[in-house]
Amino acid sequence: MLLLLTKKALLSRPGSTLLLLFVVILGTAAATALAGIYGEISHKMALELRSYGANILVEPDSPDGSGHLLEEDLARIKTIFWKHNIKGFAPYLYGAATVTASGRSERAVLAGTWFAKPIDVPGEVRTVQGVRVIAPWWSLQGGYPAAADEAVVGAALARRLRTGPGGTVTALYQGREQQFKVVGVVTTGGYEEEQFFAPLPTVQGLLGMEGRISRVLVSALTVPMDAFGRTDPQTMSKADYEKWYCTAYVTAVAKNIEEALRGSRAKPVWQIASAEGALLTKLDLLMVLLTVMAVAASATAVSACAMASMARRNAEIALMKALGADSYQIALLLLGEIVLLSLLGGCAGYLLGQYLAELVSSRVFSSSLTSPAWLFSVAMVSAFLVALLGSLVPLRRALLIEPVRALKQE
Amino acid sequence: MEETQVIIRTEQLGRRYGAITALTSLDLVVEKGDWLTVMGHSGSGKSTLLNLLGGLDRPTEGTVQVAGQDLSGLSENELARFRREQIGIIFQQHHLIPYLTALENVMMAQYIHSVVDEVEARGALERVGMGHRLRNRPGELSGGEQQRVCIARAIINSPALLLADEPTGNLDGGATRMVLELLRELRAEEGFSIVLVTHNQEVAAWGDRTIQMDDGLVIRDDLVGGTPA
Amino acid sequence: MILRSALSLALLWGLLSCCLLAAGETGRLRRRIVLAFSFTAGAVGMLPLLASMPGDLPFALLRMFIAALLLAMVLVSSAALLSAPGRGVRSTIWRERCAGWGRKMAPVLFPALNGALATAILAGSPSTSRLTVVAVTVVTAFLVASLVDLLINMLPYRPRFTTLTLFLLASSLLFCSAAFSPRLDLFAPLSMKIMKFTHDFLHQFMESMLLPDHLFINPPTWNFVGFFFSQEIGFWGALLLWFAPVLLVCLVVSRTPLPSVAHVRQGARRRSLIAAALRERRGLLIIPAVAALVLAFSVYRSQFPDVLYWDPAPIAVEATPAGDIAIPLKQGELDLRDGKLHKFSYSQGSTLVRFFVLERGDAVVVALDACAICPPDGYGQGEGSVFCYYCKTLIPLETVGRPGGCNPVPVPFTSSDQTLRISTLQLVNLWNSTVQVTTKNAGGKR
Repeated sequence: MLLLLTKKALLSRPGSTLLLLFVVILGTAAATALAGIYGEISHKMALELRSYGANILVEPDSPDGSGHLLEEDLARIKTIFWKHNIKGFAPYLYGAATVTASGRSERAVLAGTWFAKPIDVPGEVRTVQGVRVIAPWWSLQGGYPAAADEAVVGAALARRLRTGPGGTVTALYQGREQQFKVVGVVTTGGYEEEQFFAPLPTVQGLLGMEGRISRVLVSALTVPMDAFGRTDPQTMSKADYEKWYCTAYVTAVAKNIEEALRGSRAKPVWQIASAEGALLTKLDLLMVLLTVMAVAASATAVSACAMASMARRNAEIALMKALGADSYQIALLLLGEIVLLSLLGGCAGYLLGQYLAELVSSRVFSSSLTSPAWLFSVAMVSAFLVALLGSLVPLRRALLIEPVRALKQE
Repeated sequence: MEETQVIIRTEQLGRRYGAITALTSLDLVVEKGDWLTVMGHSGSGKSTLLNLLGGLDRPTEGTVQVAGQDLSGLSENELARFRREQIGIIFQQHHLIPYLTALENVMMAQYIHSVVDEVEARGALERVGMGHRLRNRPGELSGGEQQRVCIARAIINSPALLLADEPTGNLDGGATRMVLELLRELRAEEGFSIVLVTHNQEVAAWGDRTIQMDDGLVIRDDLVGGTPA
Repeated sequence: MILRSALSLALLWGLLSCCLLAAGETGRLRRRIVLAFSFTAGAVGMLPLLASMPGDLPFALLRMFIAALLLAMVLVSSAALLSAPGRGVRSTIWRERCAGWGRKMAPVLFPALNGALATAILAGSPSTSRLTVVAVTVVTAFLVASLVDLLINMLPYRPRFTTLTLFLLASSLLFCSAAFSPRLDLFAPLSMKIMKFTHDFLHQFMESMLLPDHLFINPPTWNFVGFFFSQEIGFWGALLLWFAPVLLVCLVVSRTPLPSVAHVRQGARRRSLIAAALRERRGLLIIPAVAALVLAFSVYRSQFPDVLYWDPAPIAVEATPAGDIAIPLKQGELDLRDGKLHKFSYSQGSTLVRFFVLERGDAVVVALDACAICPPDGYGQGEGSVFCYYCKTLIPLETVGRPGGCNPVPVPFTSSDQTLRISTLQLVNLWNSTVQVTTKNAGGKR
């Protein structure tokens, strides 16, 4: 009978029922789409940030930043205490040179680096190190240099020089000249786009700085920073220092590297080391806020719709009360409609929301979305929440109806 | 008089709406099986009396006892329970749910009371002579027919007391007679008591006892006889 | 971590005693004492078991008990369904007798099992002090049992229990407690067993029917058949078995016949009687619904355990007369090449050496359950890495077996015809030298 009453009541006012359903669907779709996109981007973000790698920067230990590190020390990074936690590293040697291509000349930073260099350390497994390992996010048009006279040009610089893969660039530094074959153009979204990347030995030769490097970027697997990790090692007791040293905090690993490279100062790149946590937290908050707002907004709309349809049902409810229906029965009757609506709305909203999420994902993030199974439960729960929250006020109103007065008004 | 033979007992019953007094110090005793007609102009307090008897309204003074239950001590939900188990109501405007068929309207009363029983509901409609129009909606029925569905709905839960508020107010002479005859038959079979509110002298003649009300006071009672000053 | 599981266990124990107390009619105080006493007995009784039996054996034993309970629940509820009322006097007498027995047994059986579970979960890992844990557990048990009593009296509505629903809820709470430890969890091995069974059964069936599988079966059918060989079948099958008692009890309740009302003449009175009976029946379904929720939660627990790492108990091994430890790569259910950490312990005199075997990539590695720098708290296995319990440092799986950092100290071994051989002399010396250094290092600051 409850089902029959619900069905007939809904069908007796097709207009307001459809409107209610529509609002529930919209609310659910918004919540589902947001949750779906959020799941996708937080996943992607985490992946991307994890592959961001470089979280320790090693520079010469001099107040003005001058001086150089020694290339021969680099292999020692793989012999330090935390060697197993070093995922990769890349040395850089910088020099300001004049680069010329097809008649255009520019001052640019010439960066010598390893692209993918096999490193052999006695007693260790051979590993490959270089830019390709620590900067996997480089989006490269063309390929990486294989020969000593091949180079990669930053996208901005390449535009100004009107050159691209296959072109030729000449670098001039204090009278010395070197010709490079451009094999790739790199887009990173950062300062790298202004630079000119060439194999380290070639650049060392050009700059006249054999065996020297300006800085090293290291990507290390570290333990998240906590209160203990933040205390100053100088103030620790011996036992605490031991523990700190044998915990792979980014600071501990940096200290370890510092000891391995002569004349160096290693510092954690906090922006990246803590970026993952901070960014994801912010994203979390934003998405939760948006979802709550979507649910709240549609709940308000449902409330308004339900209020209007309730006004038309006043007499009906009053009659049921006069016939002896208590508040449980009235609530059950009205909630039955809500549950039915939210079931329908949830299913439809899920489909719509998924479609929306896919659309947004492919347009904005240019990636296809794999919607997880939990999204369906999100849809159903939010549909139910929307319908229930929206009906609370009308329900309260309905329970307060005085049968005598409502029936007289007819 | 044996207490078990009393269906309604009111003592000093009064109802005030703010400054307006709708009913004052009413002492009324109605025996089981009686047909009491309440007459009076609109605003004389007869509808207020009916609402108080049906547990739809609460008195501001005095007590009202129906079927042995003191209504003033009951909570909202207990009053609802009292209504569905003891009271049947017939309205002037019928108040049938427009989107339900005659049968479903009766079954709704069953649902509110306990569980539905379609066979029984069908039987009730056949008893009021509506067996041929089970599947029709109220809009497709005439006034008299609608009122008969209303009666079926009112008696389906075997109430102890049937309250009728101007049941014939919207009906023509023929239909009125039919409805009243039906009520008389059903009362004989089921043994419920009737309190019927009307301002029609003819309708009042069908009852066993008539009280006349004015300004919230009973000004004439058959049982006492005569006309108080 | 241990605090969280302790809190959850206390909560589950509270719920259990709540339902056992609410189901009883008389002797509230006596019941409470019986409950707490049984719990203590179970908790303390588990201790010698843990101490005397090696490795996973006590856990396997306990799990067997719980599995038997699940099976018994399935059997009892199906029996209840089959012997529904109105099947003759004898079946009625039997039902009454069983119900009486059950009511007497429940307040002892469930708390005892729950106590044993609590001890096993909380004191099961080697690094915690067992006696303290048990003492704390028992005190909490008493506290919770008395607090629950107060709460029950404050409840506005007392759910109605039958013996069957009481057993249902109590055993689901027990399963839920068990799901807090991967070693005691019932659902995962259940799905595994079901998967294996269907697989083997179908295989045998095909073989015995001499069906040449691929010849006659077209791809769509094969896809269908493939379902029965997949992981999913285990999950869904286990789910079916898991919720079978709830479903069966619900069926039993909903099959309870309504009172006969044919003799009541008045229709309204008849309907009132039926409505009251329906209401009562609906009330009886509350407990199975709660049980279903609890069971669903324990499935969730089992599928997504809180403990994301794998921390097996060490298996004790003995040396051969020649002074070698020989461990077969595959023995019964133990498969050293499954990519998981397998811990072993070997005792010589007063030293207890812990070491583990792990397959990474293609090579099997043997290493001490300690590193050269940290106090020997041992290692757990996470996703793609192992980690040191002391300093929480993740060690990439590829580098396990190589010395340095916080990596576990590798143990030299030889392997021949599917057996690893480790020299006890080397092993014990390595352990002693490692632990000596690191224990001094820690400066007694543990």
